[in-house]
Amino acid sequence: MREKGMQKAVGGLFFMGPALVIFLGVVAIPIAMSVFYSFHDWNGISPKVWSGIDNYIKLFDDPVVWKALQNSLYLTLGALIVQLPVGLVMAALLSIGLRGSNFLKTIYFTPVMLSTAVLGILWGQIYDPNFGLLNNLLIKLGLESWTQTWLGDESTALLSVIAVVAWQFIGFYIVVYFAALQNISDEVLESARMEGAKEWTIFFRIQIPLIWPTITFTVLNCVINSLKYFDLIYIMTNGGPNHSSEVLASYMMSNAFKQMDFGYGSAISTFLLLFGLVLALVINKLLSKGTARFQ
Amino acid sequence: MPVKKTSRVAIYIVFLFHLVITGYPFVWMLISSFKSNKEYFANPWGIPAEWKFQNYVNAWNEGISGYLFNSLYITLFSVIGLLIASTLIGFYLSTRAFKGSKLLLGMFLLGMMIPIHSTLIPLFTMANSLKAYDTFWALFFPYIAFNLPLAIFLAYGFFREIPKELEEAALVDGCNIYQTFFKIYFPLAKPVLATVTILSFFNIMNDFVFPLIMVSSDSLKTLPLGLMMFKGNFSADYSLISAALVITTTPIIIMYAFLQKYVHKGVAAGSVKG
Repeated sequence: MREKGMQKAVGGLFFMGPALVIFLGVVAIPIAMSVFYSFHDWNGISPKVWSGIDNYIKLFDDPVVWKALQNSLYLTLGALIVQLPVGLVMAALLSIGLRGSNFLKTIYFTPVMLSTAVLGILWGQIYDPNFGLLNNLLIKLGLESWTQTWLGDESTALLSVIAVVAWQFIGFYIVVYFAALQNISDEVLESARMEGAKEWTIFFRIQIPLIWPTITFTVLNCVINSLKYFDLIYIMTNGGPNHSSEVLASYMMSNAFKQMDFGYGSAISTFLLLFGLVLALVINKLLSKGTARFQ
Repeated sequence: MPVKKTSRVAIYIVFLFHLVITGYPFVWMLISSFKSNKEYFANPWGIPAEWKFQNYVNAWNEGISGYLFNSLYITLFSVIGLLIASTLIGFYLSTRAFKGSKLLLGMFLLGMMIPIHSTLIPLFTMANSLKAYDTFWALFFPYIAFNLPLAIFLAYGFFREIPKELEEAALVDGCNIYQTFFKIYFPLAKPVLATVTILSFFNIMNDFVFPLIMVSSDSLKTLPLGLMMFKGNFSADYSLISAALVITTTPIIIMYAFLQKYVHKGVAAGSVKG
């Protein structure tokens, strides 16, 4: 009763063709090409020269790569220590359902919707060493000695960006956790209360275990996103000063599109891709063990 | 749930604190945009002595209007392309499962894990050799591709829930596969089309990386990159930049205000799948 032979082939092509061609052309083939480039010495213009694993040897010897990995780790830790717990606590407080909670949730989420260019420029103004709000506030509070060239100092640049990333994404986790908490039936919570359970016991012993799959997702999301984090770093510090806030993506971009070293840039992107996938697999494994424990 | 009065006050204090931290930078941005540059430096905390709307006129005329237009039309066409490509394949995979269709679906889902940056160098060289660098297409195709996985996931899930009888009835009535899709399935998919449109609209409007790498002329730069250019050109004029930031933010905030329920739903749906 359905299409056969030629007709079936035309149908398949018509329905699957556009998505397949675009996805293969823009995602799958470029990834293969990136791996291919990474074994070459190439500036993007003159002919590619096969260089074996030279780029990878360089990569593992490159102190900036290690610095970038370390910075990604700090980004991840910042996210795990600040964004997730604050998001979870705020979501739990909002889910009590006090008046105005919905409106507040909408406002808290707003930074997630805005472009990183806007946020980067806005926070650049706030961090501005001469005219910025932050230093101005510190002076007003009599803490003049605390003022910094926030984004221009090796010791504070990364931390300043991490703070903005947290400021932007807490709202995301509030909404995710809030939705998960809403899915817990009221009866469960009510009966716990009838049994005399305290609110904090309910939070730690009932709500958190019940939304554990969501927590798993957010942890994974956090780690992967921190690893490939780029936008605010590029806009606010461009990896500097002196690579102090460099991450793999920003280092790849400056190698490829500033130094025109496409071979080395490709090696960094291949490394970024593989490292990310392996990390995702490992975390998924570890966390699903946790899920099993709760079920 | 009953909450004691003291804890209610405590909770509202926490809410207020978070509200100030989240909201004050925007309030400050808005107020600064009405100041003269001199007042911006002299009086960063207060409200302007004289409200200067001229900043908006200047920002609008000095490029922001063009960038806004670019953002809107590139986003519009990319979203249309995305909706067509994703519903077509979602429909086919859910009604014409074949050997390997699950694998294909898995490949798209794996695509959600791929960092965009791993594809940038090859995309740049490909665009150059295909003479597509600095054209509309250099943004159009990447925007479709990187929003495809979630869109296909949603479309496939939706079409799979539609009872088989509907399609069989259409066949009996003499519809071929194309008519079945365009006359019956596509119109039914409105909720999916809405979710995909909303999520990808914000994704594409806010994207910074692709314009940075794939285009160079002003007539293709979208707002996020355009803003960086604008900031570079008027780096000392802080209040003018603030006005440009407000103009850039306004369409997004308006869209978000109207659609926040769907946005939050979409975010939650995306996170359950993970």
